[in-house]
Amino acid sequence: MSDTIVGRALWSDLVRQIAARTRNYDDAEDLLHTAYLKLVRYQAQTPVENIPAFLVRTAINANIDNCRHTKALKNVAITPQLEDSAPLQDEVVGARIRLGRTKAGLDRLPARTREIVLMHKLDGLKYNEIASRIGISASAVEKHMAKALLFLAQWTEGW
Amino acid sequence: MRRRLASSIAASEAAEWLARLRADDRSPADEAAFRAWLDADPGNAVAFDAVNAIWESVGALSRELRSEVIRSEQPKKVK
Repeated sequence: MSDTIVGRALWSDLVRQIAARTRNYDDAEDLLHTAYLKLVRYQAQTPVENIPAFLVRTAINANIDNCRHTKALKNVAITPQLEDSAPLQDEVVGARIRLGRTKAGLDRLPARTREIVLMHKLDGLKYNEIASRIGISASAVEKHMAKALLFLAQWTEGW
Repeated sequence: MRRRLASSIAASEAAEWLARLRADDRSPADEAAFRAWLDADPGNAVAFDAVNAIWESVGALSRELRSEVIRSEQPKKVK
């Protein structure tokens, strides 16, 4: 049987490499997921020669973007209160509004679905880990994820 | 109207694809089917990028929430 683009052993190895290079142990796997999605999304158009190198580089760049983003938002409330704050760059204002709307969208999800999204994205748990914690199947977890993603995409449509 | 309907189908499929590709048990067949889906309609890639963008926004929110938890825990550790 042919392997996925990134086999299990390579995946674990890449998580370790990304954690070591970024020193961001909490998000290493999530950064790899982000890079992997970029890879599968763009590979059809542009062949990628060295897949591991591409993934590590993309994950490191994603971490840099995230840090920059988090730094810009530091000490800025998630809920927009534009009139209270000193003038901010458009980019920061935009990002803050997006976060506020995302948070509002998350709050509108059914409690269980929201919990699953946060366990996956915030706590970094895999579907099967979430499944055994809350006593449903991994495929039910995946369905909750898809439902949440669709709801959030519709909620934020036309921003 | 038809365009809106088509885009809502694409959004729904895009959400399912993103959820599938984040699953631990994704298979080579999933990856191939995902690429075929992307190629099937330019609207699919647009829908996928939109879902992926909101997912990244959830990530940014998660990091905010995490740093809030760390901040609120820190004073206790100092004492």
